[in-house]
Amino acid sequence: MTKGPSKTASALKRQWPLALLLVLLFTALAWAYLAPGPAAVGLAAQVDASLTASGVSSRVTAVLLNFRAYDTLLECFVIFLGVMVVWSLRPTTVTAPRQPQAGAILSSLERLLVPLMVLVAGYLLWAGSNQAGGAFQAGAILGGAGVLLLLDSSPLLARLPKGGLVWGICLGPFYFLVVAVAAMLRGRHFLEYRAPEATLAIVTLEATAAFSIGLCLATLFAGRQPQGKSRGENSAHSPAWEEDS
Amino acid sequence: MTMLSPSLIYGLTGLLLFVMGLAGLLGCAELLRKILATNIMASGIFLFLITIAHGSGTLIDPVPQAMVLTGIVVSVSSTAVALALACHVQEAARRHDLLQKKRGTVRR
Amino acid sequence: MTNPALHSSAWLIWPVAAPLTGALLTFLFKDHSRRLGLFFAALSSGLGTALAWQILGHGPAHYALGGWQPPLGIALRADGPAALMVMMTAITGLAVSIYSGGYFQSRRRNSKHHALHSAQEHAFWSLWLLLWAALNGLFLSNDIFNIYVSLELVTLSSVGLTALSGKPPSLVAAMRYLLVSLLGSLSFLLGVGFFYKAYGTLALTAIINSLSLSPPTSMALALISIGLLLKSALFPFHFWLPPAHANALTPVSAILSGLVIKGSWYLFYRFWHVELIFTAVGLVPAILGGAAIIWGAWQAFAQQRLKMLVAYSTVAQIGYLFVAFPLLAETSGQGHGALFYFAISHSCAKGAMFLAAGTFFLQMGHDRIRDLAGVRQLLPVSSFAFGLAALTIMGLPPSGGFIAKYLYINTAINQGLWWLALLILLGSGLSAAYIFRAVSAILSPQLLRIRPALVVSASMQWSALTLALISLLLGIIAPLPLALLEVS
Repeated sequence: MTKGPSKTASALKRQWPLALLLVLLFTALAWAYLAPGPAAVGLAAQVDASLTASGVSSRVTAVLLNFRAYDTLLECFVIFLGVMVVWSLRPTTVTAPRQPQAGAILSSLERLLVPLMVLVAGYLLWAGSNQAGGAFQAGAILGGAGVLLLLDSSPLLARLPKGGLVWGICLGPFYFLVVAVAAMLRGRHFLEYRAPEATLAIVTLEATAAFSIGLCLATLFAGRQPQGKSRGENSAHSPAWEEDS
Repeated sequence: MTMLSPSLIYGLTGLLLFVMGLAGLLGCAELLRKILATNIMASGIFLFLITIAHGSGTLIDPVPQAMVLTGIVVSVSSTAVALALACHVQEAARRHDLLQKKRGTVRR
Repeated sequence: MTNPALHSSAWLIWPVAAPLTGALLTFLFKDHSRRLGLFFAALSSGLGTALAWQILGHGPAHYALGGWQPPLGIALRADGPAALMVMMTAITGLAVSIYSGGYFQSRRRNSKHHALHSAQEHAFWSLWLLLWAALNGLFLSNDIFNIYVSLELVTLSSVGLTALSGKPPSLVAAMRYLLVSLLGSLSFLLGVGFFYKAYGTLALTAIINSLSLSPPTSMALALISIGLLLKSALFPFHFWLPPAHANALTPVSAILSGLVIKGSWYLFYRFWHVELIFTAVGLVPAILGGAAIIWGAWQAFAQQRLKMLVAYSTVAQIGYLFVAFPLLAETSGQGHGALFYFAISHSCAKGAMFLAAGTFFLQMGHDRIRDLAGVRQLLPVSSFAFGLAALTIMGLPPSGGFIAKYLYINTAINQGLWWLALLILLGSGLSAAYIFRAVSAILSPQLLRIRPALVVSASMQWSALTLALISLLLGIIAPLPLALLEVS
């Protein structure tokens, strides 16, 4: 499928109404951005005022894991949901993604980088309590390490103990819910924790969330549910759908 | 109007990225391009939010920053779902083509 | 910062937390997903009902999550409309869950591909419970960024459910649905950015109460409205809906048509529930809604497949949800009553209709309207359910749909909006036409030549009938939901 310049040009000619519309849209957006209107000061001062009660000294972490922890709870579920949806898509035929040839360079790079990445992730997690960093950054690095391991055609995810992957993915959201409800059992609000015990809550929340996010990202990269040997029913024997819905 | 301050440049660039992404989403036929276009739109919004965080006063507002972090995770998840779904759609279309071809030969 | 009239209640979080837990557990314990799923569906339904009861008794409530009051923290807020929506989700959701238990069992029993159906059922329960939690979160949240996150949860789980059947048309429909929905979410998020820049808060009520139309805030409102209209599939944005709803698995069709559409519509209502907007552009959703009523009914009439007919009927009914927006400008509250009454009775009736249509499909192996004659003999309960639900969709007394349309026309005439009253009458006539086409085939006295063995379970038939009866009952117990709606 090669597109010659003439074809692109004709496509452009066909799409001039769209282009006009988008130019108008940008003008409207820019005008709305620049035009005078109510301008608020934001919440920076309020965050600072409550920072000591939050249990961490990093303002972004305090917002993410204390003031607006409910958003973060739902966000853990969004990642979990991504894995759920990707796994629920049935492979229509046996078209496994091409396994790249594991070269010597990749293997040695992997041996060098993966331990380092785990170390960096741990550091980011720890740093998150007083500077830039935190669960999602650490989770992203862990996910990257997972991707590197997957590239090396090692059936990493399938080699995990049966159910281990599923439990690992659920750990982050599950622990979040446990912490949230535990606060209620102690007569507080959902997700309510204050300094000094808030620090422990936040650090453990971040650690479990980072672990699960890393695992989810690597799983999403793999693209489908690993078919371990323990799984008796193979998708190759059943069709992708039946005509009775 | 104000001088060409950094916040002005970043804010307008964010909005421009949003519109460029929209152009890709509405104008491109290929699924992969459409999915990447939504990513560009999201990046534009994130830049816009970061500009808001820096725009108001001397203190940097951490709330839009946290919103961006959450938004990135949401966008990663939806992109992954979109890509996986696109693979399946393509596979289904390929099988459909094969089926059509087979039927064609039988008829002939 | 908070309104002193609101009391704090921990009941608000449970309709979200319970199904979230259920989604995790059904995902973890694959072999027990049906039992766990049904248990958590019943639990979520009970908690949703309990919340509505609380609100009816004690007035509107709020709940500061993490103990942080807005604008710093996120608060949940339940007034009459929110509680009514949670209640609607509880009822329709429970009926669909009971149907699903029988549905997957019947499918597995009549197929040799056990692995396929087990995998589908397993995925269904966790996605559906997560969707339930996200919808409740959407109805109860009072924080616009949190609403964005909830919207994304709704989108992704709906897309997963749409694609679950695995058929190529449903995969294509799911892809289209995802792209449209992502566009809607991103537009919404940019609007959130503009609002935050203007007001420095994310609390919805605070923003709406201090709303004044200036360029940035008008842009924010426009972006949010377009995003929500895309997700609600109002007329020019409806193109993705019929294939997605008609090709999905039956319980999924019922969920998408009965509940998911209402999520974004409800948010639209929350944002537009301000006096000054009606005077400015109140007619825009009404005109689009009117076009949807006529176009959807026309398309429904032309369909050959029952599920497609029901899906296009949804396109038309979404029109009713938006056509009434000019009526909200009136202060008597009758316009609100009409709008929400329509929403809840449509949820029950359309849910029942899709469930019955899916039962026909599973039994007959097709849903061609022409060839459905005689199905009445085989599935009397489902046929009766379809007929009862049809009463509500057409708006005949004594159904909930009748009350809604009566309120619509009454309010419209009171306000002198004659064209609106006529439009609603015309829409009812059109819906009667396409409904009659379906019902006359299903209830035709023609006998089946061969009488195949029954493959559907009783729970599938009776859950649809119960939902249809509730849609009918809504016409008789009208004062109760309207009293709940008044709480604010």
